Amino acid sequence: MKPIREVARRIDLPEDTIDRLFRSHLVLLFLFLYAPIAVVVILSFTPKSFPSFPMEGFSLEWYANLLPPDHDERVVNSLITSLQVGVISALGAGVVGTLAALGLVRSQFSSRWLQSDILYTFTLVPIVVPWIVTGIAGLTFFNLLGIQGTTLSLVIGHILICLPFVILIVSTQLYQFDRSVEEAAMNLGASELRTFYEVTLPLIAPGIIAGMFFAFTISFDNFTQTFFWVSAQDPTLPVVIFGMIDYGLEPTVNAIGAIIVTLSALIAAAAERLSSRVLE
Amino acid sequence: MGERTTDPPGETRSIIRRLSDSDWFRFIQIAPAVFWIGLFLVLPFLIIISYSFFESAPLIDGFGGAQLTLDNYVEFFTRSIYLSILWDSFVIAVVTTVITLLLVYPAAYYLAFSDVKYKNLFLLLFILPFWMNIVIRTYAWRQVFGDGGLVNYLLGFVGAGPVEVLFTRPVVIIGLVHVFLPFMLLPVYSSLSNIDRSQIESAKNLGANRVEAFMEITLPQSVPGVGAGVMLVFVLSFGAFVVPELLGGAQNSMIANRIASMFLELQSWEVGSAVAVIFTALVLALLYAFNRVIGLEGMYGGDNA
Repeated sequence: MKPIREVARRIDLPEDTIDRLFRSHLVLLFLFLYAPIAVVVILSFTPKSFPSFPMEGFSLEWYANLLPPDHDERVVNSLITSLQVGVISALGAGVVGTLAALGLVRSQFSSRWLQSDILYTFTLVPIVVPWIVTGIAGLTFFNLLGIQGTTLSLVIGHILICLPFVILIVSTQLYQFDRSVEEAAMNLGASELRTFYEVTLPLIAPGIIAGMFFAFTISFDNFTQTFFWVSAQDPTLPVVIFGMIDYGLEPTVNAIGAIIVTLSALIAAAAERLSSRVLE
Repeated sequence: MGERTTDPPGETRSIIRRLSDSDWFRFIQIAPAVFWIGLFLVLPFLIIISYSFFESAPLIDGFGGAQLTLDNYVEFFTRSIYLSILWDSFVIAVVTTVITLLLVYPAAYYLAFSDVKYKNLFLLLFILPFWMNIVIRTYAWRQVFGDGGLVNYLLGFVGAGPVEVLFTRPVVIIGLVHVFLPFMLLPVYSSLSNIDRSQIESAKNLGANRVEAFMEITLPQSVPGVGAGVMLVFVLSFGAFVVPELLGGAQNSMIANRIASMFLELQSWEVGSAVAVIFTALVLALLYAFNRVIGLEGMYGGDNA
């Protein structure tokens, strides 16, 4: 440690040099993050059937591929499947996860066999198990049950993947929750149930909604586990995209990518606006 | 929780109240989640473990006709291909984690401590790629490095190239860093922004320069966030599937690709199960060791959890 301290004592750069270094690092990092995404968006307008530079023109052909009347049915059908699975999984994980968060935050199990922090760690297990292992374990089990490749198995699996995130988000919200307002409601004569619906639920609703929104995006985006659970007949959007890429580069994928980029940016901007308005 | 000042009006209500605050009621609330994870993750993993001791899997006529054997594990440790792919995956994961940390820390530090004008916008820009599909983000790198990609196009202007970089290990690592960077940024930023600035001011008032204040105050207090970020990025990239599949080609596939092909193409679930069991055990052991050294508090979002 001593030589390091000696060195540290001697380094003293002027403030604005340091500031400039940090700022250029930030710019380069954003370049790294967004350059490939920009390439995808730019090449989605290529007139060639193989996305490459130089572009030699401009075309909306690949976007037209996604719209009726001559849309790619596989893409549209898989989009519908992804949306359905996403909504059902978000609702399922939302209910199960919120209940679990309530129980976990408000319990103090400390017996030998039942401890709150062990239960909490257990609910986070789906995060730390490698995605590939969750995928093949599900594949094996769904095969034994005879439901491999059905929407049911997808929903079961997606709820499993989303659960820890809902629990994390809702329990963070619950830690900030002041329980004396529940006491107050009950002292004023409200029943347990009424207190829950009129006091507790509205107060933790932002956490639940955020958790379910997060769950939806995780389900909608999930590829690795889903790849092992879907059937070839009824795949989700990411699996269809992966299939298209495996054949080779395709500008239709660029068009889908550009749309996803735009939508994510809009949703993120809206969420940012909303949260800053709530905070102020 | 404060003492109740008024008695509950009715007998029934106080029973319900006692019930709803009882451990039993809390346990029923937690039960569905525990049941779900137990039934759909722990039990399937136990089945994988049992498959790894069978002579062949998947079983066609039930568990009855199964022959127990250690051959699958013997195969793992005697055929060098498994150990070498596991080692390669480990090296790729470590390099990815180190690069991600080196890239993210200065940026997170700058955003946390300087009064940048559009701080929230910058944070949002860091997290935004997280919402974009991992398959599409990986696909993007093929158009950067591939034939007719951005890099070769730009090299053409200076008269260099074309270079064949796709399907090499550095490109796999670049792809992994890109995909998992937000997982490092969030915990590191959150631990840095929780540091009490007055401590740094005091250190400076006591004669420390910027670097010394950083080494003595900031760096030690950011360890939990760094630990959480390092763990997340390491585990995610160790088990990465999409990135090596699309950017690595046959020579640079990782352990997850190997397991996947044993389940989906080769239909040798028994060896695939053994590889998966060893891999999971290794990941969990590393997590446990890491947790003992650094602690996982940063993952639960700060000091209130």
